[in-house]
Amino acid sequence: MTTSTTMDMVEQRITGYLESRLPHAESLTLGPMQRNSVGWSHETFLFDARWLERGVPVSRALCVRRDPGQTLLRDHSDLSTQFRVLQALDGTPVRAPKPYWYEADPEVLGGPFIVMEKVQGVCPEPWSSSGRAYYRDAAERGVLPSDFVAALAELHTLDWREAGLSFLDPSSAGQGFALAEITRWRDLIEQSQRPPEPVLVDVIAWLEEHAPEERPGCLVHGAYRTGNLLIQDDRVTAVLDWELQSIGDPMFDVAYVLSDLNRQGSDLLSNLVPRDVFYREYEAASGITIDDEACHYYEVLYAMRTAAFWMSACGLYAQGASEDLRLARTRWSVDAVLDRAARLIGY
Amino acid sequence: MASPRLVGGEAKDAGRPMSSSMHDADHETASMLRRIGSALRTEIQPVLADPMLQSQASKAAVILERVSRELDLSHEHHAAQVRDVAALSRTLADVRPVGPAPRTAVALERLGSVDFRTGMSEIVAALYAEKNALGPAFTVHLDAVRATLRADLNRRLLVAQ
Repeated sequence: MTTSTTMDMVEQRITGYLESRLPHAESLTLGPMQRNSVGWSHETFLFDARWLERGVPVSRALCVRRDPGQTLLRDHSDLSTQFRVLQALDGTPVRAPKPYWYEADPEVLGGPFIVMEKVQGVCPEPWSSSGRAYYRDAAERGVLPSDFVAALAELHTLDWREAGLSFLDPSSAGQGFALAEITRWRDLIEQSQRPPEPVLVDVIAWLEEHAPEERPGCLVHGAYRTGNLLIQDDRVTAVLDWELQSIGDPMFDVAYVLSDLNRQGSDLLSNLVPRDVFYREYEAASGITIDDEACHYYEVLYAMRTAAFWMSACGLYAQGASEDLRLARTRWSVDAVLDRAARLIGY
Repeated sequence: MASPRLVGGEAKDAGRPMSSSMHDADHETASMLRRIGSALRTEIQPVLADPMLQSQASKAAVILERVSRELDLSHEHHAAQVRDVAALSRTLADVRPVGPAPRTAVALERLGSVDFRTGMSEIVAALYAEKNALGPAFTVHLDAVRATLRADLNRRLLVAQ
């Protein structure tokens, strides 16, 4: 089957699904469809839907996010949870796409999917040269860096209980945030069935011993960086990729921003924000003091998580669950991230 | 603290001996893989019309280059692992724990008889599990183990980077 045939079929099925969800829609058509993120995680299909409702033309920009099965996160990310999170965030100050429907039946589109608003904006890849230039130019204008910080502070100051996000709170299952994260990623490592990694055994034991004291929990995104944000006119229009969120320590997100993981050698955090601006504006907007020691701890936890991602990816290939050679190549990425983790804990 | 567990499964190449004819065969295989990788990159990838297939060919070339490097260095790295483990065993044998640390003792005994990653994973897990019993010996042991792990990581990075 060719890619274009597959896309034709996806279009037909999405059209049929939308017709079933919009009983008053007549003459429903989809505009050109853009497909993103094949292989690593959930696939997204972006398009405009147009129809007549009692003779009145209606147009809506939509995004379908589909679980193709055997993604890098395996069963540690599911679209029903993402849908619940987006529902809870709808109407709050947190910038997130408006969710419309969740469909669990894999018969419709080959896997569960959600339909949500396609938010206006662009999402330049920070690791591409054009993306780096985009963020560098935006940094010089100075508006987007502050808005990047403001959007993070909005997340961390959200009344998550009021929003209905208590189901994300690991303490409800009797576990602290850091230990819950360790458990989550150790499960993924074990699912990956890779050969034993003594450095990882050391890193995990270190993480268990050094877990920071629990502080008041907030909504944690888990991957807050450029590349996961939609931007228009130097403003963040939406925070994307709600796959790793939890209720936990705000320093987890702060550490990700401060880390050199996401800036490709740039002095600017996330390729965008001067370090002093981030400290000053984040603390002022959130009322939360940045704890450098906790951030160091979470950097180690990110290294463990990244190792888990790469072990899962190459495990999928080794297990015959994927034919994507990008996944096979991550076998050697594991060594690089273990090197990083070992350095972070002192060797 | 929860008891540390080993991470990953059992490796399958525990303590394999190497003959010089195997060395030659591996070098020949490595050389062939390198050439196949090069052909993929310079002859096959450019004529593929589908960008997805082009990308797959490029990744395949990278993978073949890494596998060939891994094969080329495998004997040297294996010999270094054996040397390092022997040195580590001697170092740790001289450091007495303050109390009974049976799991560490067993892991130390097994070090030379199982493959490197399994043996080192077992010793790390044992050290953390018996940290209190080991007393000051914990830090001495862990430092020595980490030095061995660092040397191995550096060798792995020769392939990975």
